[in-house]
Amino acid sequence: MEIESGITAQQRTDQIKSFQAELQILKDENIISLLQEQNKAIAKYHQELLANYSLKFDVDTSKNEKQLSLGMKIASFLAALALAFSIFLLFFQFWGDYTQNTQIAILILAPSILLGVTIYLRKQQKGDYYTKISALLAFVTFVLNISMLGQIFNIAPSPNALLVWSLFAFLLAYALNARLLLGVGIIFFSFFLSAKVGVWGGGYWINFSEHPENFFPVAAILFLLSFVNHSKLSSFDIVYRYFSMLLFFLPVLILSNNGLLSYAEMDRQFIQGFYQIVGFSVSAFAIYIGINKGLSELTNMGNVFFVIFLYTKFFNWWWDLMPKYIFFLIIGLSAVFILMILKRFKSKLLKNTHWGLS
Amino acid sequence: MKIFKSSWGLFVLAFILLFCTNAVVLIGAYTNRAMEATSQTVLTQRELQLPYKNIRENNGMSLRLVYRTLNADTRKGSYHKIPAWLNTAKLNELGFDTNRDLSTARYKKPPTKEVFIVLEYDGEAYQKSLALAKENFVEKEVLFNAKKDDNKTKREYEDARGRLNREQMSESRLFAIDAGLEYEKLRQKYSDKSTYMIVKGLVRLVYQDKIEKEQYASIQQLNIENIYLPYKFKYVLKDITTDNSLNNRLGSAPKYEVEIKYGIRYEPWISSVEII
Repeated sequence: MEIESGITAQQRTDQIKSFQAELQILKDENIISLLQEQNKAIAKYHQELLANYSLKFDVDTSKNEKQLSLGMKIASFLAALALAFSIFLLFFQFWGDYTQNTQIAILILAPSILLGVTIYLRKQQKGDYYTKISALLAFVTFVLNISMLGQIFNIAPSPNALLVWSLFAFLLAYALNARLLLGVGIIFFSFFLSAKVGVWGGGYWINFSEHPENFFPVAAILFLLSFVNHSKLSSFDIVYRYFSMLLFFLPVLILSNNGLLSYAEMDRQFIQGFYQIVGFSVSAFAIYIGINKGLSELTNMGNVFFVIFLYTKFFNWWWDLMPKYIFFLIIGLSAVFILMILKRFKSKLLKNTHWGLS
Repeated sequence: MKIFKSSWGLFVLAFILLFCTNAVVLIGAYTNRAMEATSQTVLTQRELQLPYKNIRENNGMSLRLVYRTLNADTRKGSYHKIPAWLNTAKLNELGFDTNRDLSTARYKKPPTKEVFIVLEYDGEAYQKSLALAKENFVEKEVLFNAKKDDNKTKREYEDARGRLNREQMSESRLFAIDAGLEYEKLRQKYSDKSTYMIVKGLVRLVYQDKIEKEQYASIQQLNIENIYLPYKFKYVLKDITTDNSLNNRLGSAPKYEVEIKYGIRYEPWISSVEII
């Protein structure tokens, strides 16, 4: 089987490691016994595969390596963040001491050079972490490039800048399989689209956050995008789903508490009640679908927002009426109740799996 | 599309995006300044103020365009920017549906619109504001002379004197006096480019006077209120930077004048700076 991406190579490596561990247990328990030639053939095949993946995709073949990789990911994230801040402040520190032409040259050259460095590092394959740091810096300098040209020439702010930045982040994210850049691209895209929706709704784009409903179309688009085939990219579909849920539930939560922010010209209480029902039913539905389809991100976000909706409601109803110890007792008991329901769900799932196997 | 499937193709697209965006921005900036200016005025430190304080991490500098309004409700002061002329009739002209908005604006987030705003420099509106300050000073002076021992009248008299002093010496003489949806129409009405600047800004409904059945709006902001000071002018103002805000509060005379131009995209730039 030809493996084409690092993510599938890592999945296959994990699968081999699990198989080897399970096989050892089966042998120790005398469930099966393989001939020496068979043992050797399997071991040789796996060894060759792992060596190949390690060489080509830099996969982690042991638990220790995985822990190290996680540490490297965190370090590279921090490095990228700190370097991005450093570049921002460096630009501002010396900004006023350059002539206009020098400023323009610096602004255009900085992202171009960093993009060139990113391509060079990508070509080297091995420097995966450095490539992603360099790509993030290319993105940051591109944001600086456009925003500071706007400052030099006193250009009125435009939502189109958000679209351009999001496209740039998306291109780099897809080229390098970088989830952080994907997240950044999604954030800029959501601001752009909700600003446009705000304009279609009759407002001025800068005030897009005044109507939380502006975020619903972007949530729907991101949710649909999550079902596009992303098999060669690490968890892109999950990132899309997380953001789509967040951009749906957060506005619903805000509207369920402040109906005045809605476009609908109806009674405030009615709008709040409507969004409370939407919040409860969609989060419960997300939990159900997530469990049924094996999409843990749907279940997780559904769980989190169901609890938030519930506790917000409790707070509105009882915070002023009840002694605080009773209020927190109710919160605790409701958490236990939710736990019981989820446990029943889990045992039902296990039962189904058991029936399926037998 | 094959280009979207290979990472090299995506990098090429990123390069194209980077250069095209820069080209669009630079061509736009060039076009704005290449044609005849839509407004061209010489303002002073009173209207184009230095930043309140120098930020250590940012050595670039922008001047803040300070404009005022003669307000519908004088109790709210001139910095609330709720001008008397921005009334129901004007709002209807600007495309607000006041019949609908009158009932909802007070409780909902009121609507906002981008329009052209006319800024008058050292004109009738400023003279009116100056006359009001003088009138107020004379009124308080009479009260103070009648009751010299009363602390309240003394304080009011000193406030009025300070206000008049600032109005004469340091307050901005730039007043928003009209608004419209078309530049050409406004320019025909206000043809003097050195007295009347026509800029873009945002107007937002504010409140309804239930007795007069009048709807008012405020100028939320101008699209560009901070104007970048180019490198060649930065050092002209180097000795003025530090004591700017204190001097303004005390009512000292302006120390520099700046020529400001607006291009065909209604984006401004500073074309000269001189010490007075």
